[in-house]
Amino acid sequence: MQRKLLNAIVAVLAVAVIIVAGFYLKKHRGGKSPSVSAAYDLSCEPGGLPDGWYVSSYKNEYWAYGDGAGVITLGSDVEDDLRLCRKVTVNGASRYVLSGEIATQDVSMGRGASLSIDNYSLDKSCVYSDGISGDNDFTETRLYFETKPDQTEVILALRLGGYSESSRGTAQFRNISLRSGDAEEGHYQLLEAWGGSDEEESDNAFRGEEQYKSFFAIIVWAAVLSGVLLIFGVYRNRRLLTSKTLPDKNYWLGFAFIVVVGLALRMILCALFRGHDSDMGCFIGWGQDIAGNGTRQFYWAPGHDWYDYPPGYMLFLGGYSAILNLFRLDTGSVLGIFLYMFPAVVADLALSLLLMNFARRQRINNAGALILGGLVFMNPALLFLTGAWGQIDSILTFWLAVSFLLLLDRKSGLLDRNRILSGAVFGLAVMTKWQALMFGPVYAFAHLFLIRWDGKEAWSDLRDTVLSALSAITVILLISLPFKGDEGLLWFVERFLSASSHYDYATVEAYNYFAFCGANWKPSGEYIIPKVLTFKQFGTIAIAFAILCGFRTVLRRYRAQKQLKRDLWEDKGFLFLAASLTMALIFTFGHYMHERYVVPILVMLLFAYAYYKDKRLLLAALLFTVTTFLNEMMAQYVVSQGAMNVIRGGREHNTVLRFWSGAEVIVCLYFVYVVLDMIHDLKGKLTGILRREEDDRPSRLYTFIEEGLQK
Amino acid sequence: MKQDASSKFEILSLFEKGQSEKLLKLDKLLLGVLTLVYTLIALLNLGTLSFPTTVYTGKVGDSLTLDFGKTVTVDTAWFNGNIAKGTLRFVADDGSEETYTQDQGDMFKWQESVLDLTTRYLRVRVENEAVSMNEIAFFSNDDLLPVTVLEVFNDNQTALNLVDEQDTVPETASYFNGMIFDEIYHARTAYENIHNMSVYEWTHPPLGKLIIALGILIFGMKPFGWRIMGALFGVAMVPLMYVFAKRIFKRTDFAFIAAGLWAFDCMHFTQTRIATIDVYGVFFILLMFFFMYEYVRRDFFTAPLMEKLWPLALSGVAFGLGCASKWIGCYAGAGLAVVLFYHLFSAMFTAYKGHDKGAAKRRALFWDRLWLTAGWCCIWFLLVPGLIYFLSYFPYYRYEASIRPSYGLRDMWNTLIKNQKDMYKYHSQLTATHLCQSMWYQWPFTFKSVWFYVEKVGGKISNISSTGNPAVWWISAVGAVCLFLEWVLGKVKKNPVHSILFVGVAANYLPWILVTRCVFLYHFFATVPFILLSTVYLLFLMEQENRRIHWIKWAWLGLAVVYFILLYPAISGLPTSFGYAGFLENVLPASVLYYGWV
Repeated sequence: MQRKLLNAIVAVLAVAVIIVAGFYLKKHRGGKSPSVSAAYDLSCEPGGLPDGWYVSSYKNEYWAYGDGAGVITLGSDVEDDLRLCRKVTVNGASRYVLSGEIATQDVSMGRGASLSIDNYSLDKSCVYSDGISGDNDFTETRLYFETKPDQTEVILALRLGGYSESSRGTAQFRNISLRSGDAEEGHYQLLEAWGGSDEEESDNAFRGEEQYKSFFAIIVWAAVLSGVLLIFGVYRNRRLLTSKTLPDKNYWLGFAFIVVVGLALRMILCALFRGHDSDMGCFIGWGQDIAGNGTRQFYWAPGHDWYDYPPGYMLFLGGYSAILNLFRLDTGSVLGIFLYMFPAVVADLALSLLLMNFARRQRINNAGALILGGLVFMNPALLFLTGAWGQIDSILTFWLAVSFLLLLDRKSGLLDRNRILSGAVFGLAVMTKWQALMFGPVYAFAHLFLIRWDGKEAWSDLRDTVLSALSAITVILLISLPFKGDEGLLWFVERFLSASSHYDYATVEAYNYFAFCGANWKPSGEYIIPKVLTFKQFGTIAIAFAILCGFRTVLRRYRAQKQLKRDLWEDKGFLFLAASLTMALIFTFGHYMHERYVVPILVMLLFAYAYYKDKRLLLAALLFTVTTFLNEMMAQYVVSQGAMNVIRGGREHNTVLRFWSGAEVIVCLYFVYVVLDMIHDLKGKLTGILRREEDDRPSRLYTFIEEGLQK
Repeated sequence: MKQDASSKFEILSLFEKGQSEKLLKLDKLLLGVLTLVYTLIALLNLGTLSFPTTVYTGKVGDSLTLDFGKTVTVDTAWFNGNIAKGTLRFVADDGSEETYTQDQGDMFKWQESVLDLTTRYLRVRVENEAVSMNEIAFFSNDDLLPVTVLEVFNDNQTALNLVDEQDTVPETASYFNGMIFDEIYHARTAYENIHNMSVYEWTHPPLGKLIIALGILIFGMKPFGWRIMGALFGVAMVPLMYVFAKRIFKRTDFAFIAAGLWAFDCMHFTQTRIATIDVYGVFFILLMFFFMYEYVRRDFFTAPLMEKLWPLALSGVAFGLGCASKWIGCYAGAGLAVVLFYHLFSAMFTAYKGHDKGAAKRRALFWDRLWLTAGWCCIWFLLVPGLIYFLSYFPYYRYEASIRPSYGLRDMWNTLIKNQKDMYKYHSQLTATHLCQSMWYQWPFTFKSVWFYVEKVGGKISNISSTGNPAVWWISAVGAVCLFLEWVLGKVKKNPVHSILFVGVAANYLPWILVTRCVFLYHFFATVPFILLSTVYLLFLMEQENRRIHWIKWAWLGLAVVYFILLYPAISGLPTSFGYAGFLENVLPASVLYYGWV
């Protein structure tokens, strides 16, 4: 086990070396990252117009000229839709940002001055930035738009007035540029043809809207069918499925089958969804940015102040992008997107292998281990998250699992190497996603209770723990160093704090108790109990309580082991159990939660189940999978282009959200009950931990030992 | 302690004693109580019996004078129209005038129109086309004005009917005293069938409307009259469901659960209390599958022949009645064929299994019975349903015969065929959209209800939306999928009930995937009994595995009743506060009920 873990670490280091090599090669090849970007030179002879631009107007009583220094003036004394246009080539189904500065003088009526895409003559589509009226000095303005799949060109327009929204006055434009919007957040408008007023067009618009709304039903069906398959197909039949002996050869064949099908499904999902609209764009944009411009400026360049991911994954992304760029890959293609999803897919696979290996060590037979591996790699929530969304929570989960396993795999000798290594890997987890810190308290409790305070090893244990903490800090500092720029060594602390409050909402599409209360995207400062308790206060109390529950779980396990005159590390499941409980409670009752924060516990619960073999843990893992799967699909769907305005906050959205949030809360409470029952013999009729333990059966602490899973 | 525990569940265990497919005393008692309770709920506020029935019919140029007894200001008038299209002109003593135009959708309900005339005598004149009116009520400051007919011109004595039933004028116009939603097609056509008029609603076969007409013949052309037959068919579905479930489970508790869940399903309640034809289609579908189950559950070889054939015959009759009510009966009929052929193939498989002496006998018996069954089916699934379908067009023949002197059998056939073509053309070419339309995959989770009626009553809101009870539909949808999976995995024993349930779902649900016209939630109505029975069956199987979960079925029924009570104001028309309606619309997970009114 330990050797395999060490192999895994070596493999990671090898990847890191390749990434560094990638950086090196990239730098020396001097290649340019492929990006769509054009700044338009508006300079021309004074009084004339820049090359490639032309004027379009309804009433020929306008003035339009450049000043030779890159400022264009458009004006009219009568209300007009006056445009200075330029046709440019674009890619289909891509996002762009048209930006520039606009000054106005006496602009009144209609839409005012704006940046626009005036494709009305091409395909009846037309979008605008926010109109500016009155008297204004130069103001930065941006227009976010998304092209249709078959779109090849757009007409840029510096515009005074709009279609049926004529304006008058004078507007000036400068610093016009068009760039790819992959790495930029904003409300992207789709270049769709305008709806007419006749019956057929309104019927079509209605059908389109209904089509969007009906996707909710498809999402619910997908979640329900996955739930039925998991609960009725796997859970209820687990004894049947694991009753036959599976030779090693077939075991690996089975695993290969799972891998092939899982990969194929992820590819199909990738082709269908092409990743989460903004997250995938961010990853690609960030990777390209670091590959092109290096790490130093990444967090500090103008406009980068909202970059909220920790530097660990960014470092990897930069190197990874540099390698991918060697192959001159189109990052907008399905293959390009899938390659950016690939690290998370690998993490899914690694997690699956880790769990299978762990399960076999806990005397679960091949068939059982294979099913557990399948429950990770074919887990619908993980399939969707890595295949359709492109998020990296499984990488975080992998680091956490490795860290936990190393901690519980005590190495006797001068130094407990694994414990120290565990700290370093936990540091990696923190640098992958800040959410790792939510597991920090439980991880720290485990460290403390693993010290044999009353033995002669107390000092050496304490030393190893301190070294473990130091190794975590070292990893964090080392990773963050290349991104430091001109800031202090602990620059990332401030970035973490700003990231944690970046979404100051009770819940951000996380279907939990607050969502059940109708607080999705509500400011966390609003009251949950009027004039008594805000969401933030409630969440803070809940998080404290969750940590306390984690502490209690570790403590109970510690005492139980002690009564048996055993060390805590011999219980290989307690850390997964306590971490799952804490995270489940934080996710369900805490604030600032996003839909994906619960993902690690889907896997951790399976680890806990593999050790304790309490079927209720398996059930909880599967139920959480179903709620998370739906939550992810909904969160991805409601931000998708075109659908957002129609469906978000509508009756269907609210109903599904509220019902499923309620279901998540029930699942969480069930899980809490299970843990309470396990550590406190809550139900009474259970024989109880202590009596079981008196039987002195190693790793059979609880009542629920399932027969079919034994070798 | 143990004694305590068992006595605690003594009442519940009583239900489990009825381990028989027949109805025991306890069954009869429970069934009686459940049916009675549901009947009371279904008939409560169904519709008024106080409704104008005498009709004024006027053509262009007809006129009359009304007398209010003294000079009054007539603010508004309520018009209770009959079937016609035309305009009435009202002329006051001072020569000021107002008009009211009667249109197709205005019949058999109170329509308000502002007159604002000050007069003692009111001259009423048919301005164009023709007017047919059950009653007119005049109001001054919301007070009903007494009025009489002073003089009638053109000797049209029906004019006396215009203001002769003022005691039927309600305080407020509502669903209770007027037609809502598609009643203006179906109940109207039932009235036309009775009075030998040209048929207005021809997009569905006529039997459903003939059954509505029966209620009208008994109680008059009144809301209660045109709704009662649907409500009674809805009531009849409850014992039918009970008996069906009792035959399947042979357990009183499960029969009661199935019937209870069906009784408290919101769509079963709403859809049977409106004078449309879906209730008849669904009732006969349930009936035809019940009789088919009665047929297939008996052994092909050992059951007495007639015991086996009569259910088949009755299934055929129900099939004919179902098809003559709505074409959904035909889809279900295709399902029946699948069940029947599966049964016959299974019998053939059994007959040809083994080579002993008995096998030869079985083979001979199989062929004997097969030919007999085939012949029997030709009679009861082709001939009799064809005849029922043909006869259901009686109102068409009668009307045609009244306007065409030499109308014979061949003409009847042509009338029948023409209507079939017209119906097919209408449904296949319908492209219109509707606010309440929804996709087939949205139905089991009740995303969108079908909105029948809404009205603000004082500070309250009265609403009728046809939707499924989420506790019944959502759980049944999941349960049916689970049962199917268990069956696929070979976890459940082979049983004819599977073919009935799965084919019932497939035949009633899957055709809608292919239908291109706009479709509605109530098109899932016929599938609900089958997913419901599937889920009860799943619970039955699970309970046999694990006795401890016996409480789940009661909790399910309890949840369904709670949901029914919570949703009652939104599905029955009972006026409720806007606050509560807002809770139903925005908080309680159910479906769109008020369409933006709250």
